[in-house]
Amino acid sequence: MIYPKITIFAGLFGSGKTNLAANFALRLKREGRDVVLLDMDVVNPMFRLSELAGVLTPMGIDVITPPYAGTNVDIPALTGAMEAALQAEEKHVVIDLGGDDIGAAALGRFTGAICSAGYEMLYVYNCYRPFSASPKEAFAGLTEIERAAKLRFTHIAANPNLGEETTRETVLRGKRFADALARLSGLKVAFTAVKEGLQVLAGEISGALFPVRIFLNRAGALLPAM
Amino acid sequence: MARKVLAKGNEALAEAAIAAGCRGFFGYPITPQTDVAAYMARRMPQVGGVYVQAESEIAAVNMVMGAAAAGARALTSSSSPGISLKSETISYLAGCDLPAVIINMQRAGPGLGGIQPSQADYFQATKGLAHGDFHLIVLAPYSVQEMADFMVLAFDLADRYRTPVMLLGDGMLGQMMEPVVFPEPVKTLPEKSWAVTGTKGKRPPNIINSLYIQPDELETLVLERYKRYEAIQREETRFETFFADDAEVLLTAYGSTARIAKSAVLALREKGVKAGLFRPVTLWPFPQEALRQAAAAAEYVLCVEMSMGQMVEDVRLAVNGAKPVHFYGRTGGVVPSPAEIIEQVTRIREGS
Repeated sequence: MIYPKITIFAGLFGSGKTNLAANFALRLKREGRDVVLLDMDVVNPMFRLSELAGVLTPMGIDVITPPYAGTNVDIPALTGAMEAALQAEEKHVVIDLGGDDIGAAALGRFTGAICSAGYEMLYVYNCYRPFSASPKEAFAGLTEIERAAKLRFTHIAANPNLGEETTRETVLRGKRFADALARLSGLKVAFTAVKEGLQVLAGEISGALFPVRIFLNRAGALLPAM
Repeated sequence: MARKVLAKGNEALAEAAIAAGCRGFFGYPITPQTDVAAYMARRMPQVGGVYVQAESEIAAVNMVMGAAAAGARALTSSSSPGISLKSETISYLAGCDLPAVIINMQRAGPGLGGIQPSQADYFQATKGLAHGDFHLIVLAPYSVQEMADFMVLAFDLADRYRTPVMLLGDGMLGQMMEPVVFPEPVKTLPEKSWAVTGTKGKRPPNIINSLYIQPDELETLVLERYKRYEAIQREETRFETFFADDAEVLLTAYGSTARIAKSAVLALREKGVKAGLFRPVTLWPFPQEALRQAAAAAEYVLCVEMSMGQMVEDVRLAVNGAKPVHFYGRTGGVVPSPAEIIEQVTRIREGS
């Protein structure tokens, strides 16, 4: 990846776009860039980026969310501040889209600005999610999103996980699925996201590893069912 | 062994319904359960089933009634205000002894309320969903795995007792993701000799009806139905206990609140407070006797809900004055935290 001005995380519902977008923004920040994170999810009422603003803002990430996100009037309104961020030359913009082609449609309005600024769009792929168990099905989802977003994907972001139950084997198997999707789509796998602390060795997986922190775990209030 | 999938609660409900042999889903969108419908819209055509987005909640549940009368395993799904709209037909389902499954992923009320999680429809689900003498079986899952397992159970219970069954969740359960193993697809569905499937000239017609001209005829039927309710109370009452055996502080909670209560129990135990949890899994039938026994050894009971206090009334009936029953609730879409529960326990201990 060459880190152009705009990085878009898109994919099927629940593939992990929000968590990857947050982690990616933090990585850019650590590299000394001026980062703004756009919550363009107009689909999901809960477990969304706006819930993380309180954590990310103190870390120096500018988070722009729909004005009523997380409230009882959670309406899909994308603000003018998003347009401004896309046009601000000094900013690196990370976009968290909503799931599926429905979520990707939110991007359409900004296509012109995004194309002229330069972008990468990553297809977040977790083969353990519904409608993702075969690379063929995942590819169908990918093309639907491209049509709705009016933009082409540039990479695949492998995000193989089973939540709390993710193991080394989960990741290794999921990466093989991502590789199969890469062959099918002609896209490269930019990285494989791995939960921080999980023992996956760099040599075990082809391509880059991206250690990620898990943010969206509601207040840590929910224990695994037991 | 079947492979694990990472699923949202709403997706798990939908996929498990298909595994249970449901091929008819009739719905209408409302946050936070719309993912059930979205999933079904994609999945039903793949398995030769029917997905209909009806013109209203009322139309959707009436379609369920038609499908159920024809012997199909039929499902509708909604969230609080939508369930209120469906209530008349749910009474008709009960009055016609039709098996069907209704999902309520509760949001905050009353009125249009809000889209965040709530448990304020407990009264509605267990006491007075609509007119007439009847009950629904009400199942309250607390994990994505239980959402899947209870969906199959719901269809089985509905067919076995010829009654509508409600799966009562909340927005948080519907939206959260956990690993889940889906139940094996059901191969053969129970025979339904009463269904309206066409006589082909070989038998008298089956009639599905809830109107009775003679009062004593209706009374006889209602009494027969209440015999079935007694059987359900005897055979199908379900609950779970967690560190309840030696608990001095017995928490009661259901659904996602029970998950939070479990966190509180563990934290309290670490502080040396003997806490435990009693979790009703069937809200109707309510596990009255089991709770009475669990509370017997405790000093007091603390019922935690995302409401102003609804299940607590059943808890008080079960405990029947033997122990003090306290209540802590958040409402309006606010989710209680383990810390808040711990604070309540501390306050009660200090007598404030």
